[in-house]
Amino acid sequence: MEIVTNVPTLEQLSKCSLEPYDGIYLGNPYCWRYDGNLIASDDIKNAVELVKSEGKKAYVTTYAVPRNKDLPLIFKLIDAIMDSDVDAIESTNLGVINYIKKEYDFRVHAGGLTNIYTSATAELLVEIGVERIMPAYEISLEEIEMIKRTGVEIEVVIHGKIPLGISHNCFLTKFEESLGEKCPDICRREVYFESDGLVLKPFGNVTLSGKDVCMYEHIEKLIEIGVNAGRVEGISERIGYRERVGRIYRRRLEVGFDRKDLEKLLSLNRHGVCNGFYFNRTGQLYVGGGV
Amino acid sequence: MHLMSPDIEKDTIYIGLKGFSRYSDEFSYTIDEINSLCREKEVFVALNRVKEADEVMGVMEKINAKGFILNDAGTIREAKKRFPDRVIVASVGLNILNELDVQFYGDIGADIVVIPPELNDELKEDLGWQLPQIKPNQKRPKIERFKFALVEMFYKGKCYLNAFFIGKSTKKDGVCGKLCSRRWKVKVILNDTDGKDVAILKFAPQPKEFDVSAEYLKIEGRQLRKTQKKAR
Repeated sequence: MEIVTNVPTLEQLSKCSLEPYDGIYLGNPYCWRYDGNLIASDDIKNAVELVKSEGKKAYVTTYAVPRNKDLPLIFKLIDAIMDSDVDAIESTNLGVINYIKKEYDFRVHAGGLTNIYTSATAELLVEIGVERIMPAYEISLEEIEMIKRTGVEIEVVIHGKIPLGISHNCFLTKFEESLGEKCPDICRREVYFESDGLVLKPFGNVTLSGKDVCMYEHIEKLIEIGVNAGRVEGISERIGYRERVGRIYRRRLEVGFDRKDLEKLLSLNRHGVCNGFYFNRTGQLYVGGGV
Repeated sequence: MHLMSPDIEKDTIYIGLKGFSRYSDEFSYTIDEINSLCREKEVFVALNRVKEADEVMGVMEKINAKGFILNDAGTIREAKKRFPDRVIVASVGLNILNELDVQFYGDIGADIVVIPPELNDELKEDLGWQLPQIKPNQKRPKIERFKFALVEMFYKGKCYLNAFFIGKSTKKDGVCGKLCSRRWKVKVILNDTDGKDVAILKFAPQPKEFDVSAEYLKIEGRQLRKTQKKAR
């Protein structure tokens, strides 16, 4: 199983250790205005070179909810990708995915917000030529196993905050006055929405789970159903998070289960951990290894 | 221009099938009830809970409706292959946002695509607008826009709050717990402390009427009670 993560900017890329990872998704798919966002800057070539110089795969993400007005920026990014040593493009928009396959026949990974729930849709994407898909965030391991039978590569989140919704605008900008900061700096603040024990983390146009999905105790199950890549979702996290979590999962794959490592993971997030939708239960529950 | 309404007194209506459409089954119909309505009206049936394609094909076979509103790309392709004479509508839950999306859904068999109401605010950005990279496509489907909609916290079809907090998926189980409408405290973390509350928010769906034109116009409201519909 590949271990992958996402890094939004060249600045963060140069400050964090990529050592535990096999592949890096470059760019923040949730906001064009995010400061230094690789999908909107001329740094993409340098970032790809940096990733490749460390012997890692370089994947580039694209804006998650592109309207017509966003397409020129996406076309520009695709041109830059074709001019670099990129291993795959990630997109969550079926129109963009279809365009890339038809016009460039380039390797495509369909991201988690593409809404892939059924094996019929997975088959369709395989026919188009999509090489890897991340199934919809709210389906179970049994459903993922059915999708895997189409022969497509599967990537899932193994750790981190998952998207719980995406909007046409950014909720954080409503608080520029009360937080005393404007876009894009406001995105660097750690902000949560809380309601009777339910926690959300707004970040650009996306709203993430307050809890971290943690699949440390279930790696064998993921391997058994044929998961090809496990993502550490670190797009909204501080720089050290990716390295700490990545090292723990690397040890998990190469050495095995370690209770101290699990305890470290459980303590990393102020709002705790959960198992998402993998076990057909309420996403924010943590069911541990007893499943 | 055609008007798609949930009001069954109108001539062209869209209704839900119990167990297969989003929102409560309380406002949905059985196969027999739908077939009876099909004798008098143009009926479009929402089968927009996401299920495996075989299950959806199984009920499409039994319903004599003019068209079906589907919420899964693979199912749309399968439905057009199996039922080429039925009108296939790509649901708003598929989040069709740009011309490339419109063309893609046309290619796989959609006759009509529903555009999210959020795009109505920038209507001047017509979906027919083209860049040199976008080649004309003969299979371009017709466009359906919302004349009246409940504009929600997230794009329709891109909300997983229900499954995360309640364990039932809006998309798969059709149920919405309206979690967005709760009171949410906005908390900012300062210097690794527990944080400071800066505001209270609600994201309740906002009813909105749009001055739009399109080949098909939709009045959202299958989930609303009859009295609310009449009030509109």
